[in-house]
Amino acid sequence: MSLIEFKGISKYYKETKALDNVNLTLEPNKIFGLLGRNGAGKTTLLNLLTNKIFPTTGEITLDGATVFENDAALKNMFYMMERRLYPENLSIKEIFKWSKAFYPEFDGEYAYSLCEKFKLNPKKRVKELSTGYESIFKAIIALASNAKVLIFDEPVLGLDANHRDLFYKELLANYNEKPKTIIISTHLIEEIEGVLEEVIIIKEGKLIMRKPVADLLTSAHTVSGEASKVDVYLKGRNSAGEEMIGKFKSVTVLEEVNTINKTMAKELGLELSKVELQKLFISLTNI
Amino acid sequence: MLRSQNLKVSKLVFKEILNAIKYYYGIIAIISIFFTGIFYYTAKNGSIEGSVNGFGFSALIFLFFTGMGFFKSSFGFTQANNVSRRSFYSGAIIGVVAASGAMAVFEVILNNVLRLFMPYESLMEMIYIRKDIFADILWSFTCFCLSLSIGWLVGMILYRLEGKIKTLLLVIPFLTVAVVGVIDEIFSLNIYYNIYLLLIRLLSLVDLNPYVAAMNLMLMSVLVIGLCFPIIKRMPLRG
Repeated sequence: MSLIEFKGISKYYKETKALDNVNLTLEPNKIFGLLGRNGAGKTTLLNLLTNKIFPTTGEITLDGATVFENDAALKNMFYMMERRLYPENLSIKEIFKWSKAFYPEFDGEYAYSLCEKFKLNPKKRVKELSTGYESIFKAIIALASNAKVLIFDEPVLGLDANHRDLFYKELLANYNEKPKTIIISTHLIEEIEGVLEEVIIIKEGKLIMRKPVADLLTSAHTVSGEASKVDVYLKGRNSAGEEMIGKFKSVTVLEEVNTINKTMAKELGLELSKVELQKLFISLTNI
Repeated sequence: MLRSQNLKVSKLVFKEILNAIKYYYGIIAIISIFFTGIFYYTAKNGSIEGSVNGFGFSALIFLFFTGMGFFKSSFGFTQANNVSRRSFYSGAIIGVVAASGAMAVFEVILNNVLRLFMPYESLMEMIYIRKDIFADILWSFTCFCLSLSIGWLVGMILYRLEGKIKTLLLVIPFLTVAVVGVIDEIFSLNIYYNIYLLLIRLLSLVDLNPYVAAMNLMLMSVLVIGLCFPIIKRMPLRG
């Protein structure tokens, strides 16, 4: 089990409210995408979950036990952070040894096999790694840690397209072999869409949505066509975000596609299409 | 579980300090060879008489800076491995004590090796005017422990503070010395004289008893390490 519960979590940095009364339950063995614009509070939430900082109010538990200063709970989580916390003079090999000490389930063989796949030389020192390879090195430790909860904050930072693709494949293979709770915070929504099971969206420190990806995508649609006709279609409907190209307009409608919608669109000569997660995210966070 | 995390942290801290100690003794070895050469040369000519000492004092300064330095890297590394601050704190204490012990033993061995090649007195022998290996190890250990602990405390305070306050903190000791000096002069409070007397007592410089001094130094180390706890208890992670 690895049930994570955020109960009334708020975090202030002096006068700035980074998180505002977040209540959230994350069921075990699912892949969650934590989405939000810059400064929305994603990293703060993850830092709180892993005891890096403390909340102003509220509590976070893992299987009912608090995560704050609790080694028993913290040992079950691995947090791949954006920042560099590994000693720069140590080699990757040495860090694997230390990872094994702190995470007894750390799979060294698997870590070295991932190094081979990503063409990462384990004899290299941390300070010799480029931004991309530093992300790869940290992602390898996370995947090999065998922790029950894996948390990734911008895991593909600096990675080229091939390495990003390889990372997503390895992440899914790892999850399929040993299901675990995975939380991924990223801005590359388009790429991660196929990996995620549920999406959590944070805006200005508040949790604004938490839904399975499939439900979220069917809960909205895109209408496009002549602007004046699109406006007619939108009357009485909840919409968010629009794009204009000349007289052509495309709008995200926060409503499921049903027979009435289809008929109306057909009469107006408009086109209805599936909404992309990224477009929906932009629409939701721009409101 | 908690105990095992403590031991891993202590191993990490110990290794980190030990790495720095290796460099320090590397430099000391070069200096010692240089002085040995000078002594052999002057002995041949029969022109200079004297002795070498003071490595013990340089060890204290070195350990203060090592104490300041080890915190940032080892705290960051343990945070990357999701270790609680409590485990870091207790692990670091074990690491600091073990490293001080190891360095005290190295120091006394070095003193005795140097004595084979040149007239050499350890810091303890100079201050307490006695030759006692056990007292030397114990006194050096407590001195090193205090020096490392103070460095650790200062390192943590600097890590915790933001940029401008950090600069202010670095200025405060100098300002305090100056202001207290002026107040002392105006009101004839004898503050510095009393501090001097206190130090003489703490270091047992009247009775010249290194064991009493070691006990006091140990108590001071405990006090400094105790002060570290409230600082690390809610320490935020900084990049």
